[in-house]
Amino acid sequence: MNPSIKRFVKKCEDFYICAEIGEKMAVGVEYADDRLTLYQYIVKGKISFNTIDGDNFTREICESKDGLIDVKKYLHQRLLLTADEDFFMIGFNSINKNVTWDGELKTKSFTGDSNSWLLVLDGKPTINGKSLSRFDYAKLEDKLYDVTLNDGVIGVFTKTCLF
Amino acid sequence: MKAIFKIIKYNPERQQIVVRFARLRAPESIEKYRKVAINLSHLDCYDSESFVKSLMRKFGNDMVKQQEEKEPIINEAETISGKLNFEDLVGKTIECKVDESKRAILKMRRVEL
Repeated sequence: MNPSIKRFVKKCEDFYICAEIGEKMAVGVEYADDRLTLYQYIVKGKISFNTIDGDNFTREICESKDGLIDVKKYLHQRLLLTADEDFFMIGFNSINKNVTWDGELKTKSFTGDSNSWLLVLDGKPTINGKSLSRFDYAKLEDKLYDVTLNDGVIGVFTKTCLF
Repeated sequence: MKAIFKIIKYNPERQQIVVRFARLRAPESIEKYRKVAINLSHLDCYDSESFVKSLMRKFGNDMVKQQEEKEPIINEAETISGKLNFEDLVGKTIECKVDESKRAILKMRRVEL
């Protein structure tokens, strides 16, 4: 049987989150109209993002140690995903094609922004005394967020501009 | 959805077949559906599996979808969008797509911090 990729998606208020779990050697295709991912986080494994444009071929190998990967360069492009290892990957996507976001990982306490959303990408961090799990998310406010990482990974995504 | 086809005629000199397509659970006999002449040069005739796949991909799938589109709508339905209110939905017939994609819903939890 061919190696496969299973896809999950969830529309949240201003964005949607996708996740893919795939087996080594699996191949996935994303067509230009569907490619809306702004940031990827590789929880596990290694995956290559490949573009083919005529005779030009590009390959970017991504893995967990790369942290939050800015993949805006692939927006509205045909993308070929090839699994170099079994992998688990999470993507942050804009719902509105005309809205862009800035994303970063937070490793310590920070002051929030009312244009931002927080997403737990891995582990069980504690924020403001609340214990969280992967795929928990929250709208932030202009206030202090007290973070205990507990080896977790937290992404904060801020709506930056309307074109 | 499963489909069926029936080869009515085979002309080896012209390398042509005449075929009817229908859904497996079509409301009428396959004989009632339109027939179409297909040149075998358009198909992959390496073996039976390749033949069936290429026949359906190039001709059958579209014909079967067209048949379904032409069937009468017995259940008048409406579409919904926006805020979900189950009280408003009770008793209504809602139109939706049969999702054939392999995407599942990701379980997420919104929290207040």
